[in-house]
Amino acid sequence: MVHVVVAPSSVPGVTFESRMFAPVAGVAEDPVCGTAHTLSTPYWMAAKNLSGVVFAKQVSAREGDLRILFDAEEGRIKLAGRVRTVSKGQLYV
Amino acid sequence: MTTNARSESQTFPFSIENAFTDQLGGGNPAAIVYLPSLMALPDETLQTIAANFNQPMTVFIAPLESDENTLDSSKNSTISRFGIRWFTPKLEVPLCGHGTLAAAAAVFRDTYGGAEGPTAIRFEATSGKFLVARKVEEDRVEIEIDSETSEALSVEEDVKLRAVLAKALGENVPVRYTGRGAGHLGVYALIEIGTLDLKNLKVNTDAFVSIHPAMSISHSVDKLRAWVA
Repeated sequence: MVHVVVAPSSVPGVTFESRMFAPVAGVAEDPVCGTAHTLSTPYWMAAKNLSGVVFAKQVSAREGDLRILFDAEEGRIKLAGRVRTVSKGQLYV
Repeated sequence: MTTNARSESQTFPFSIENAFTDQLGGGNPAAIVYLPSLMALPDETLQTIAANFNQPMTVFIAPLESDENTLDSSKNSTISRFGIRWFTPKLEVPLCGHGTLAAAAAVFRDTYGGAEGPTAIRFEATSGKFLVARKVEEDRVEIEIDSETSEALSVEEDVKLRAVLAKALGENVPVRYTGRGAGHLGVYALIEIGTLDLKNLKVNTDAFVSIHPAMSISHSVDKLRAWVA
């Protein structure tokens, strides 16, 4: 199984926090997972009766921040985040 | 000799991007490799490249026919179309959100889709599914995908999962909800806990290895790996 653990946050502006564990799949803990948020966000919003934009923080060692818009009627979800480039180069094949 | 070897090899631009962060050591990394076509290299070679990068995900993207690019009606600008494939160091996976976010950021940054760069990118997976990525405010990139529903565990499953959680998270952590993904995310367990300091919670990840019988799955480990994307 993949285990997604969600919890309330004490960080201002953060709607909920999560961590994800899947040692059976060879990933003890995933740093940040988009797929997990397609499942956890609709749950959290329904459970807490929320609407609109939510901010989720995956509190792994590396950490990640997601701004999420969930459209319940369409069954679609928008995951937004920043991206940090760390290297560029040429691959020789 | 080295020069000869290089002149005989093909070169492809790549970058490594951390998704969902602006930090050097943050987010989830992905290697992005631009190919002229997704058919440019055999599958075996794509897998070897992903193994070499040894990143959580290696994403191969290739522009699709530019004359088929469509207008982005909402913004009156172009949508670039790219083919996309995602590989872990071990296998190809059907979908990866963080890899797609990273790929979109790379395309937007390099204006690979044209001189001015696209405002939106439509990534088309080999499964036929597609994901649309857009530039949004505050230097963010946004991807839009299907949301998923979860359902509460049965009483029996709940008892068993709580036993695993007691070992993994500790006896004193209040468990508020146990559920699982519906449909194709059935391998995902969703657990809400009441702690306010999840970041510093000491987790015994080995405890999650013990899959209890009620939630045992027919998926092979490789199939499961494919879902951790």
